[in-house]
Amino acid sequence: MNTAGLLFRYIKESRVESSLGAVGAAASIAVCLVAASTRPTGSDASIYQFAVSSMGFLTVAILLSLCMMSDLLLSRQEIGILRALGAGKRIVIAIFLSKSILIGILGSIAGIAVGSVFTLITHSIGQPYQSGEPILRMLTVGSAGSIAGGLYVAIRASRMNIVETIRG
Amino acid sequence: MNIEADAVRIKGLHKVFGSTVRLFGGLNMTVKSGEFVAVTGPTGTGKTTLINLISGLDFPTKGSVEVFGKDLSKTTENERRSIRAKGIGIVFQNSCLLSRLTVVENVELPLIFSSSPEDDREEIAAEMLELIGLSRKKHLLPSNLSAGEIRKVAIARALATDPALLLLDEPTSDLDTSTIDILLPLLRGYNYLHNRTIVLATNSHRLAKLASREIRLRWPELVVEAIQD
Repeated sequence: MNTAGLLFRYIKESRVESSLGAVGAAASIAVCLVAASTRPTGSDASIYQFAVSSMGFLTVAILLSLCMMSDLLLSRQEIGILRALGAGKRIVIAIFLSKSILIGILGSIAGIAVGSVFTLITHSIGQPYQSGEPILRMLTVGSAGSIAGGLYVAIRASRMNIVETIRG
Repeated sequence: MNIEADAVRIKGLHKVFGSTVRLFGGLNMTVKSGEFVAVTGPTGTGKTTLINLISGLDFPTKGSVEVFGKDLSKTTENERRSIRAKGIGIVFQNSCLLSRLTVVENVELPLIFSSSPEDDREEIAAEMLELIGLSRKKHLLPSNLSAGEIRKVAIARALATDPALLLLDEPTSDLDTSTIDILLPLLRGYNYLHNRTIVLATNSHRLAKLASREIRLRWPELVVEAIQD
């Protein structure tokens, strides 16, 4: 086994919290995509798009930080053991960040799929819409939100007191 | 890390928890390289804390802890991590195996962090498991093992990197007599044949008798050293 193998073992362990995080990110991105795809009237289009993107980013970041925080509480002792055996902070950060990014990206892709279907439905009933660019933007928003949410928890995990975490 | 220096040198050690618990009372102790020392004493006298201080996982309130000539309070976190990974094997009081890794992967962990060659890791881990008689169970998860077997895997994990200093915190607390009979010669052999230093925290008189020297901790401050016959 190597470091990549160790990371993989931690990432593939899917808990209910991870699934909820992905579903939450998907729902958030889907709603934001529908909103971003609707062409606003008037001169405030850029402000509107910025507000939608910010909302998506914040929602995904908060959801994933909660999801990863729950993961951290459940695996607190194991992280302490890894650190006590000589794992560096970077390995701990990589474990949480890679898991968060994976959940965020999978959730974003699912959200884009669902959001695109809703956008097509609204288009068919006569609403004007934009295609292409909002999808790319929402994928970026979802990825950035998952990095922000995961990084916060990853840094906290890497700074935990090893003795206290080993005690459980 | 200078393995020619004293393995552990502790000077004027004080550790305070909160405002009421004061441990060690200025303990001075030296463990020479290749020595086997048992630290004994009732619960609450600081045996586990002493193991944590020597491994660089905790810091003294006052005084210094040197491991192979390095004052741990003057080292960076990365240096302490490297000392732990390459020079110290630790068996924790509650064994602490990772539940999502198999037995052999748990034993491989310190080899990953000490940057041992990737091709050799599984082979070394398998050898360690054979040494403690658990090679048949190497692909099982820790949840399929008994408490005694978990303790044996923790010992195999601590020995995997062939550390110059082995720290054991109550290593036989969950073990039956027959398992202890297997482990005692293993520890003694590791000390005598490989000339490795062992610091053992225990309440077991039988285990403490293995050591060449016993340090008795008594709350709150008194420390008595006794040389074995």
